[in-house]
Amino acid sequence: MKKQSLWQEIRKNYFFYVLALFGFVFLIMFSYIPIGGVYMAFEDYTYKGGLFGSEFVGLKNFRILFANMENAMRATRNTIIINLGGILIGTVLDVVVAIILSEINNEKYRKLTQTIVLFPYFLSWIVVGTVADVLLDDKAGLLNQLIQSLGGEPIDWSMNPQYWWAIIIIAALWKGFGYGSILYYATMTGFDPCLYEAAEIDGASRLKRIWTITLPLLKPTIAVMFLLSIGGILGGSMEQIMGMTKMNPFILETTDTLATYVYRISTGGNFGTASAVSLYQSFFGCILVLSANLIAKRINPDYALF
Amino acid sequence: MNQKKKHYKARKESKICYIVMAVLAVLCLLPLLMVVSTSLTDEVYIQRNGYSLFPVEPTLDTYKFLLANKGKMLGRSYIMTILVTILGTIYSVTITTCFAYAVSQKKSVFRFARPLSFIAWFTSIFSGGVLPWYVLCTQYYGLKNNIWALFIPYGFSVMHMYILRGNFREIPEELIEAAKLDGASHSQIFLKVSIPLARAGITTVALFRVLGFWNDFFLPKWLITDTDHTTMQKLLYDMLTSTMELLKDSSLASTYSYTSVPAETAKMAIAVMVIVPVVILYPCGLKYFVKGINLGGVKG
Repeated sequence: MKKQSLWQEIRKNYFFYVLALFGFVFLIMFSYIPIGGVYMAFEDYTYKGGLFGSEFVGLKNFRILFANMENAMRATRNTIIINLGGILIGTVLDVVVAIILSEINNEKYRKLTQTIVLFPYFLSWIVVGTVADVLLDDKAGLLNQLIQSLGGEPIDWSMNPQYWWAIIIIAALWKGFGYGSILYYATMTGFDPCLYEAAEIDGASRLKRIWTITLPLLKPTIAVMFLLSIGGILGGSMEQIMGMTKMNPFILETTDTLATYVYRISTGGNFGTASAVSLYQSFFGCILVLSANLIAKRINPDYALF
Repeated sequence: MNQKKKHYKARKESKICYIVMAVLAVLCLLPLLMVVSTSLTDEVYIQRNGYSLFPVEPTLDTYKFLLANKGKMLGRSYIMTILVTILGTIYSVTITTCFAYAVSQKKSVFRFARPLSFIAWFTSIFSGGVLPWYVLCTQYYGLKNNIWALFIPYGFSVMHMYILRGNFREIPEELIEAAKLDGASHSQIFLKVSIPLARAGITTVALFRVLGFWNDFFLPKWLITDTDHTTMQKLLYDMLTSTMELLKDSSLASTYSYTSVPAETAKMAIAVMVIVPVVILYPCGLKYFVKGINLGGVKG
């Protein structure tokens, strides 16, 4: 076949170029120019100078960042604990609920409970934050009412940071397990029923069937879901933390993540330092995604996303 | 995934499974019940006894108060949120579907299918961070305190693109070839063959977008500072952080004393107003949320 010049090829298939154009322009405008915009971290950003014209100050912003290292480290620690904790416990919970669903033969009952547990997935973090208010209000909250009716001392949730890792992880589990378990359940319905029937004839117990058939077959799905959730950390969890804590300054010790840290500094007007932290956050996320994928590849090349 | 194949059913069922699912379902519903019942409770009762699980003396006072005094603000936010949800969904689903179709083509048909896939994928592992994005949006693209700011930045999702690309790739080659033999152009094949056949995936992505725009707090938090473009989520957040500021104004001071402003119940009433549309949409979308997603399409 004669090799076409690019121009000829564009004329023949211009339709695909037009289709891809809008997405391409969007990616350039909202993803690639911002990547170039990390240059901002090395500037003393002013509105007048703009993104690429402000005074170049080298590593000054990073020196300020390192001078406040404990804040950045705290935000990193909280980001890791809240996200990784949520993903690890969440994966176990999702798989367990999916298996429980598969053990229910009554289709109507299964569909009904599935529908109910999926619902919180579609609520916003701000609505979940409202729920948190009702439960965790220091005086009027239902949890403190419960504690008191059981004879305990009420807890000032809004003043004690030590509870908030757990609170935020539990909220994320509550919101997400319906969706996760349905995805795993959908995968399980595709498994060959002969495997289970054979196991039953061989006298394998229920737990043994789950352990030796279901779990090994679920592994690739678990790997994909896990890697996708790691990718989700990149976007940050600003909405979750803001909705749940309303940026309560007394509990920042355990609730300040990289995303909220960037927001706090930038609303304080310090764009230079904020962009340095923002760049750090990007690298942190990138390394997390790449290393998770690499580990998955080491375990089994089929598990890796790329 | 073979849908026809019957799922294996154990002969003996375990009662525990039924109980666990019932408990989980209750745990998912209770918190929402609490929000609804608080919105129906009298403010004075809550100040005296705290929140309650069930409405003690159900009253619509809070809703009446909000409609009478804050009806304009609520109406404006509601309309703004609905408008943004509709415009944003059409906008982003169009961009993502077109792009996904182009990159679902074979290299021999569309030379840049793979490079473009890579360009999209790369944004999912490295981003410039929120600060440069914020400066670009507000200072260069004019996306601040206007309706465009509430949906333009969400035009493309790599995840959604993968789902749609997977859907397009599953269309049998013969159908496309048959259309070509009949003399259909690229655009006719796209509009009349591929889109109808990928309908399930497109509907799924659209529903996720609808809920995404309805629930979004990120864009209004970063890009909106005035009250004219407040969405329901932002309004609810502002209520949660500073109720008194929003409920107390000079016109109310004469009729309501500081304590009789239904601060707590008003938050819950607005939360209910945010949830209700989701409850209405939820059953319609339910089957798509699970069906349209092909995890296999995410890889590669």
